Amino acid sequence: MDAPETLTVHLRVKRYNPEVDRRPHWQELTVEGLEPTDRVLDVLHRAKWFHDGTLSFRRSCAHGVCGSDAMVVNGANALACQVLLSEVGTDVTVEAIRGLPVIKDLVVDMRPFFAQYRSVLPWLVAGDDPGYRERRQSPEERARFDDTTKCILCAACTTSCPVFWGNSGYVGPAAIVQAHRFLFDSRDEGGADRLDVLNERSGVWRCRTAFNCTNACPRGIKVTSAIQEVKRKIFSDRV
Amino acid sequence: MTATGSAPRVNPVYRGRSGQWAFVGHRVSGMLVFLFLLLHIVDVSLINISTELYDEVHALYGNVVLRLFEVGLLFALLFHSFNGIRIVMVDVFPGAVRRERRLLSAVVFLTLAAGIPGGYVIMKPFIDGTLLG
Repeated sequence: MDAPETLTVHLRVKRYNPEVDRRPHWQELTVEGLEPTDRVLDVLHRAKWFHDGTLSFRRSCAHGVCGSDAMVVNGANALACQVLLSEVGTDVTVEAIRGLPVIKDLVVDMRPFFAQYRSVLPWLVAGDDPGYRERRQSPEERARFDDTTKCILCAACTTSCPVFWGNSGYVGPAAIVQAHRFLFDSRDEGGADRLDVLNERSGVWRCRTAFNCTNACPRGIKVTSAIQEVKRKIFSDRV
Repeated sequence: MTATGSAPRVNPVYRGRSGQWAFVGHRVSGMLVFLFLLLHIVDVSLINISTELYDEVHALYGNVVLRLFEVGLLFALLFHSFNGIRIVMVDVFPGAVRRERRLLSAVVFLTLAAGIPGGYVIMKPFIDGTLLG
């Protein structure tokens, strides 16, 4: 049996260690022995394991579920574990997602992102005690917010948003998606408090419908559509 | 293997699709229209100083460079207006979110369809006088 064809990837990584470097710089690496079905994450693994152990990046599940390895791959946000070399070719450029402080290389400080997430009360608010029963809802009521239950909080949407790059106070697409998940849940009673947060200056009205979030979402969530539904809900409930 | 030497050339612009460029175009055209509005307030207010000065300054708008500027202004105004309607449609109608790329194509088409004849009218004295005359 013939040996499978192997690829050599020309990798460019934006390196930055704020404790040592004055500014970020690009490192070029040649990584061999890859296959077209390998992912950008595999390239980074090989680069770290066999070429430069100081390269830092996050990954946990490595299968598109945990959302740890969002990064800018060839100019656009993606999960490194989901992008195949057969899609991007052998010239691969990676850098940290934009708009959040870089801790080192591809690792960013996610705390501002999670603070925005918490600000929209992303949990079920229901005062009644159902007793020894579930809070039931019909399949139609469940389907109403199905799309926004898929979010894995990888920050690919928020850090692709040009409004967020210019204004880190903007609550961002991911937090709005999470708010949408509960706003349109028939069992939830916290809508008014959530809409108070989203109706502020830093809330949904900052969205200028550039659609980068929708294109960046690795889960295929219709992010802009969800944001617009929240805008219309504020409009119909409050005006 | 780690390469050393000169830094590689990497395009720093985020690879967004049409929606990102519509956003950028809207901001840039909006800023151009705003700057023109400031200029316009100044040139019109000159009539408070003297009518001769007002006439002299407005005669400058017949200059070929300023006529080209007006053509640019026309395109900026048209794009900003039509794209503004697109943004309102995306905000109001759920169907418009799904069809935003087609709506943007319509914005570009309408901008060109109105801007090219409009630009011709603005530049007509120079086209008639220098190129065709």
